[in-house]
Amino acid sequence: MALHTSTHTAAPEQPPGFSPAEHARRSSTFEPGNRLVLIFCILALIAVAANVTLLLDVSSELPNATIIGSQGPPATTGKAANAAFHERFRNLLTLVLAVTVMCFGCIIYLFVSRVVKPLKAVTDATREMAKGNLGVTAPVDHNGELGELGHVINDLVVNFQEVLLLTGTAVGNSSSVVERIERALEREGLADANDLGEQVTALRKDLDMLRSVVRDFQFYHTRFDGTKVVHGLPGPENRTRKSSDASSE
Amino acid sequence: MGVRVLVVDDSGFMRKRIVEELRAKGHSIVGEAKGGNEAVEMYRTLKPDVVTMDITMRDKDGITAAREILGEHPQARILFLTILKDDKYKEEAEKLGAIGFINKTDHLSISKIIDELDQRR
Repeated sequence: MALHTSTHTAAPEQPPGFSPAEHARRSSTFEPGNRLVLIFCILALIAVAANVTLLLDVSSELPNATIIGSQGPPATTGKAANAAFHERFRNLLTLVLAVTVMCFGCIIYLFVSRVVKPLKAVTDATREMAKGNLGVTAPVDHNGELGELGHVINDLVVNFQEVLLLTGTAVGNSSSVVERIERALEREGLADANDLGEQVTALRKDLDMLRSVVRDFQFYHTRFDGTKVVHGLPGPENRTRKSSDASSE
Repeated sequence: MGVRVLVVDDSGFMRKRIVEELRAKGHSIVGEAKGGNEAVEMYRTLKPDVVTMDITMRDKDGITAAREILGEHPQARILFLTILKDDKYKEEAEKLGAIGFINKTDHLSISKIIDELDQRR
């Protein structure tokens, strides 16, 4: 069976994640949650503006109704009733306006605290995971769908971490075997026989590529040192640890 | 006859692999826990013959969970399954009195230890 081509040996230079433009777009002020808050605010403004317009209209009619009502005895009772009705209508509108403002205020507050903030926390954690930091945990301390979403994302990341660490372990074990084969071939002078040496070298390069891919990730409380999985610092610090490792190599 | 096993691992696919492996050997899986806290709770109610315990888990690590289980039930048999190659944890497991500390991909050793338990009963 032919071994791998050279196209397989190049390690990706960037860890998985968004491009800078994509990242900027996603972290802009108008994220989905913020857009919904903006829509709520616009709706609230429209409702309040309609109320205020109606209220001003009624208020401007009120003095006329009182003046007309005082012009003659037969009309006095009717106009006074009309003015009283306008007064009551204005008070009612004021009440409706206050209730509308309070309702929209409550809706926006609840939406921001129960949906926008938790969603942002989950999005931030997921974005960090997408960059390759599997040491982060999506918040799950919310009831309902958002908490469930956090659980599902964490399960997904745990499985992904497990697969990567198993891959790393297999790479570490296989690499030491391949190195021994290379040394044996060299010792026996068989390195050039039937392209065996070349194929073993290609295999070693593939293993090196896989090793570098696994090392691009940060893991929860564990670390892949290139050959085996060892205890590591908790998630966020892992990145720092890895950077210092890289600089010392 | 088979051994009653509680499988503890935060990775769903790894739990599935361990469960399938043990069932194929005739053992019964009495429960699956995805974290240390859940494992401690499940041990209290299920009283399994053996617990296969992962070490690195997000809510409570396997060493802490095993310590709690053994604190309440000194007769509990804990088999650590991990991909960590770290002597620190191995020593911790030995100190706790675990029945094994095995690489979780080493199915032969896992089966061997649990089969031996079954035969000794």
